[in-house]
Amino acid sequence: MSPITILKPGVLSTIQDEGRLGVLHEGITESGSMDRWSARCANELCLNSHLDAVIEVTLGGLECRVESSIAIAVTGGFATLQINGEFAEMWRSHVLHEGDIIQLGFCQHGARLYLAVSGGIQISPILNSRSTTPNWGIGGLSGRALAIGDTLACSPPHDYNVRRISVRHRPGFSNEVNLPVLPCSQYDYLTEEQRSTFFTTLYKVDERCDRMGYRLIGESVQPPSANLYSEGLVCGAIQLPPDGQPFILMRDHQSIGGYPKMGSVLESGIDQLSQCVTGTRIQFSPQTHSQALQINNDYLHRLENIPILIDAQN
Amino acid sequence: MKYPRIEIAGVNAMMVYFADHPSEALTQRIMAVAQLVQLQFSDALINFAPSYVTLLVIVDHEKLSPHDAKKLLAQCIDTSIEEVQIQSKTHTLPVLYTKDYCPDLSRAAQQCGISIETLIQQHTSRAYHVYALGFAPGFAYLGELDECLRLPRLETPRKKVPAGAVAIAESQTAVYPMDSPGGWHILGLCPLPLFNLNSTPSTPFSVGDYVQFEAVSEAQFLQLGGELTLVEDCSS
Repeated sequence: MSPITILKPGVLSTIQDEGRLGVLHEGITESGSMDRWSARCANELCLNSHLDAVIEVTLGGLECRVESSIAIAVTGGFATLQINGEFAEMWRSHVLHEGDIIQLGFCQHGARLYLAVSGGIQISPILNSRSTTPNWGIGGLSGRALAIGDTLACSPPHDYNVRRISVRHRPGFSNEVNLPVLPCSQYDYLTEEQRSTFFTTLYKVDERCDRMGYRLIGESVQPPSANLYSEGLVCGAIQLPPDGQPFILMRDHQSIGGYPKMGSVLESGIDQLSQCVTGTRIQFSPQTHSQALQINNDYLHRLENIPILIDAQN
Repeated sequence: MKYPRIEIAGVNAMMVYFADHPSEALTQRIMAVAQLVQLQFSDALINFAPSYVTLLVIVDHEKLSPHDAKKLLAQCIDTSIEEVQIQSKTHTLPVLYTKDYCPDLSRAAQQCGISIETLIQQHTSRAYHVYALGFAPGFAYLGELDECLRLPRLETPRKKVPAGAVAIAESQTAVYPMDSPGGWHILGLCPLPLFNLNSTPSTPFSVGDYVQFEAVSEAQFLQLGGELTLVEDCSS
């Protein structure tokens, strides 16, 4: 019997891992957990590999029943976790047994929650990944978001110790976020004035913000019509469509596109932006190439060394 | 501007710009470099994406430093194209050109100022080059159309174009590999599946290949496993 049954899928819950690599040239996007930091933390708490698949819950509302003993951990935005109707801690591991009910409330801060289970969500990988791209019906469970009655396989707990991640290693939430940007691509096409406009404007996250991309609203930066042939795109790229409102490509971005781009948000910024909701104010700070490499290296290093606190239990 | 040149496209990404404008010869060159990049970068290569005049290369800097990656990419570009064998395939795709199921067909012919028969004849008169893959998984941008078939994109894109729809817009043509939104003029339906997650690669097309369309009858279309899907009309 599969250890997890979905009772309520919430707004949009999908199976994700760290994304699929090596198929961008076939027109297929990477996907993967939007906030990689939180997803990794959830896996660490369950003693999983960072490559294991988790459930990404957009905004909240997921409810599931446990059918046999497993360990779980919930990370990500600030929400309530209830186990059998009792409030339980996020950012720590819990060992659950047959009949236990997990309920995730809606994010009061942040936008995405991650539920990891011992052994990871076990489904067959497609194109070397368990990530779901619901727009194109690829990966995950039949290429779609989770639905009522879905059953998911995972493994029994590795042990009964309680693991925690301290507050200082969790994402912070604010109405105003500063994202480091590496100016690149068609940045040279912009005038000095347009560059200064971009970096001094406090943009606002638009209603159009999803796994494909985040649209921002604020001072428009209209690129000169460059007549660009479509070219390959990276996650984090800041596109400038004709209306001049920046559009930041996220994990489910298109593989190629013809809008000019003025730079790229760094990996840490993508994780941060993934926890932003409509109305969050965003400011960008330009980094030199060497600064950007340093920031990225530091982030990847911290990502690989997330400190786990362990309370040994009987 | 100097070509080819390597530009930074992200903290772990480089873009090679090869020329101002695409051509079939340029695509061969880009694919030759792409093939070398795959070979030379090996497991330090996270992703690559060839397109009209560019090649995007995404690198794992934990395996290859930015400095070494740029040097290696420059070497791949400098290697003469003759040293790399590029295998271009030609795909022949059957198409049911049908005004009964594709309401754009008559309108497109009218806008081009030609008969439906001439339009079909023109569309099947040459093998098209695959310039890029993208937009949707396995979506191949094919070109170039004869001057007489060039129409602007639809003013309002359709929310749903069925898989297999054969379409034109401006100087390009394509087949939608899966149901998706789309703003091109739909001329007909292709009965063959063009995207399969369980095969490697998932799409038969590769940049640099050729695609030849071939008109078939409704009986042949059905025999080839095609399903007659009515493309919603979007005339406004």
